[in-house]
Amino acid sequence: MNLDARGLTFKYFENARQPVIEDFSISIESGKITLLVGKSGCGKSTLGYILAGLYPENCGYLTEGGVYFGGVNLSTFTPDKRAACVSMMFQNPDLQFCMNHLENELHFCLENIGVPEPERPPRIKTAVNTLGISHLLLRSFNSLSGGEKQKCALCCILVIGAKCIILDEAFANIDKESAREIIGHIKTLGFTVLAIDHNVALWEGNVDRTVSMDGTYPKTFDFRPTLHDTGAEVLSVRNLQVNGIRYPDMVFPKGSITAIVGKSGSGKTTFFRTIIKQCKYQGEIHFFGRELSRWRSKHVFAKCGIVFQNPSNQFLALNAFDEVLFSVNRWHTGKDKATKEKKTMELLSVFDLERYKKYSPYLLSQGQQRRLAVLTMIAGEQELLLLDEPTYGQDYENIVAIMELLLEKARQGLTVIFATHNETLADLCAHQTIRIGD
Amino acid sequence: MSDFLFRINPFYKFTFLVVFATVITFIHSFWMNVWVFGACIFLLLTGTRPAQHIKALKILIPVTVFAVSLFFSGLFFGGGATGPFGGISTASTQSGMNMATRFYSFVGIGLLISLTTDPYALVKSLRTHAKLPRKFAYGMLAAIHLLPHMKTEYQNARLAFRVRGVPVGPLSLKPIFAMLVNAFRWSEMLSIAMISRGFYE
Amino acid sequence: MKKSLWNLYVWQLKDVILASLIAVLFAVVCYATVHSVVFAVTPLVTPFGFGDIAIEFVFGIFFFSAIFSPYIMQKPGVATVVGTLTGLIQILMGSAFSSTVLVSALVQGLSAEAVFAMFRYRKFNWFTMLLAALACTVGSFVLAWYRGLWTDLDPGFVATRFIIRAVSALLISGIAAKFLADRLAKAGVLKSYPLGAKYKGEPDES
Ligand SMILES: Nc1ncnc2c1ncn2[C@@H]1O[C@H](COP(=O)(O)OP(=O)(O)OP(=O)(O)O)[C@@H](O)[C@H]1O
Ligand SMILES: Nc1ncnc2c1ncn2[C@@H]1O[C@H](COP(=O)(O)OP(=O)(O)OP(=O)(O)O)[C@@H](O)[C@H]1O
Ligand SMILES: [Mg+2]
Ligand SMILES: [Mg+2]
Repeated sequence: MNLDARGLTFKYFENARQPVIEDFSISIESGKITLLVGKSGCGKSTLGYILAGLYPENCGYLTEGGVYFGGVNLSTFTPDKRAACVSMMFQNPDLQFCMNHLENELHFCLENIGVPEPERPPRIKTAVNTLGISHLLLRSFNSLSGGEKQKCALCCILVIGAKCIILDEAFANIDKESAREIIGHIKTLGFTVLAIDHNVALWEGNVDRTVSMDGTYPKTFDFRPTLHDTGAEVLSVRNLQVNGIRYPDMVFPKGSITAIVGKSGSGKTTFFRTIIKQCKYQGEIHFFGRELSRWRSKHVFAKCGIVFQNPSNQFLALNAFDEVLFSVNRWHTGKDKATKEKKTMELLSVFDLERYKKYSPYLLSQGQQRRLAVLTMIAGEQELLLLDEPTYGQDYENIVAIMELLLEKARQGLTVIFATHNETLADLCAHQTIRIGD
Repeated sequence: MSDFLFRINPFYKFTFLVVFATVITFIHSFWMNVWVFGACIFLLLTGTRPAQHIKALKILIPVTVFAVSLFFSGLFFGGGATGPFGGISTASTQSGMNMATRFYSFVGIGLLISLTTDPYALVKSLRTHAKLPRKFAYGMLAAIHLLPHMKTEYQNARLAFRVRGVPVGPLSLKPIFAMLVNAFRWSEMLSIAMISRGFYE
Repeated sequence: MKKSLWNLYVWQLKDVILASLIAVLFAVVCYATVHSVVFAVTPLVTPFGFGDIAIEFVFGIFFFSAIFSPYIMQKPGVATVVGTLTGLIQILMGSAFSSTVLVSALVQGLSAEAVFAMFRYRKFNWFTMLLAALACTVGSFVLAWYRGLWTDLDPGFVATRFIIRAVSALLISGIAAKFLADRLAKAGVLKSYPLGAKYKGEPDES
């Protein structure tokens, strides 16, 4: 059965200047995989929520149009019936789970759609095995890596077995091989799929139709910056071992850009947390001329900034403007207020965020949140910057904008280390690529 | 050693203890305090495992500090006394003893609740025995799941400030405020997540 | 259409979760407050008989959740439910104040509820908030006075305690709570709750 949206107009605020989605129609054909693309912030996730019947019931105002599943208006379904028809995986890998670990979560899903107790374990087993995550069943959700969380969320979608599934950047934190493999499974299982993704390469060969929300289509990546020379070593790592994860030896010269790649769960985030003294380690970490353990955290933070994998861990102010101004204030003491505010607006406009300056960071789209998080750090004058997947959920223009800003800073002497699943980006924009967890 | 306290129906146990704590609010007697506390400790020793005994001891440390302070309040300001330097008497000593033991008796009951009640079991049993609507049961569970998460979240919030060069002391309110803002988003996202998983009362 | 009577009384899932979340969050805050005061301050002032008065200076924290959440959700029962849950979770965490908190939390919740009910859950202004804070003070104080045997204590001593507690409550759970909630509402975070629904435009217009 097709999932049709006809003439949707949607806004988040009753008196919004302009609706987020205006007169948009889409038809998702039964059994096909449809890919939805568009610039960051154009309303793809919003559309996903509407198609899944979650908005406007829980948030916002649908002023015109409606969603029909097999010709029946979706708003007439009760949530349990609806979940069996359409279900959606959210973009943010956190905040999708209602229980403490995967097994309980899967039981909860099945209980909701009315599957009797004895039938549940076999269904759970099949779903878990399809994704190869049986080892995660009893792990507490907050001890999982970003990619592992996304796999768990996918597992919930599979176990519910809705006819139509909406995947919002479902593979953003997962390495390419696993992602391709999972897409293959989804294809063979015969779901009707609406995939929202900036990374079209992932879906190559499997999509039946590509729709753009705003008329823009992703370009093939051909950003080839010329890389500058690097200076003396600022950070090096030898025989490092953290929580049972072994790392290769690494050297990071001043002004260099390093990409860290590896499967999900291989320990990229753990490495960054170790550098900012949040994990105990064995081995040697030479940080600006001294062993890391002899630095006080306060001084580490003066030298080294970090963009967390989950942007919502980054924010501390009530609106986007204050968020950036905060960093500007810290690093440009002595300048007058007007100059600082001007600088803040400049930074916001580089990433297309000036319109949202009074928005709470949490109201921004995932891609916008990520860019704001990057801004809060780039606004500073630290000598070392760690970025955990800075380009995830970004469209092509914004990836280039982020990388250009980083390159410019690196030319002035900033040392950049970023984790990514985008290997093309790693090849083109980094002095060195380090693969961990082999 | 046994663990019979864990096997009693959590809802009945909980209701009984709360009603009991309310009732003794109205009975003022030194010996009752002593007996109640003694009985609670006896139950704890016979009805729970050593792990709980250690937890009980840990809770009793701050309790004792507070009880001692209660005793001194009574000693200096109770039974006709008017300050640390005037009028300490048998009556005021008695008053101090009363206040301190009374506190212990409430703590005893509290220990029975906190050490032998599993939040999941309690909510589950509230659902079957008190007909707590599904919405409330799962809504509360979803929030309770965040309880162990809170510690990580709190550390994350502190880290966010420290990374930006803001020192946060152990009693700083800034990270708590950041968590509060997050709580609104959590509750919205969690409820949407639950509904998208087909949750329906 | 949105704010019908039905909406006023029915608890939606997101209300339940927010109520429980605020309760969980403040249970942790209260727990930490109690324990840090008991360990850091109480021993110092105990020799003068002021040991248990130390907690009065931060007593407003205990009322915070029961006043803050009804201000945001503006529906019957919120103060009571959140207040009681805050106490319940503290017990489950193993608070030093143990079972006393549960009954106190219930009484505090009911006191705040009474004030909001008096205004039929329609008026939420400075006056209501301060009155609710004061009601919590009185409610908790009467209970503590009766239960904790303060009947026996010097009246001057008891009166001092009352004044400290009232000031703390007004500052923390009256003024700070309202101030905080209003700022959150302006930033657009609360738009799906009655307090935030007032702001109908995008955040930069209001
Ligand atoms: N809860 C919300 N309240 C108010 N505005 C919102 C909310 N969520 C999103 N927006 C705004 O609506 C617009 C569309 O957001 P949406 O999340 O749908 O974008 P998106 O296309 O998914 O972007 P991305 O690719 O970055 O995820 C954004 O400009 C965002 O700022
Ligand atoms: N708090 C924790 N407790 C236990 N194990 C943890 C914890 N945090 C992470 N892990 C485990 O450590 C491993 C490395 O996690 P990490 O987050 O560093 O991976 P990652 O390389 O960043 O992955 P991704 O690309 O998916 O984000 C994972 O297997 C993860 O499950
Ligand atoms: Mg999105
Ligand atoms: Mg990671």
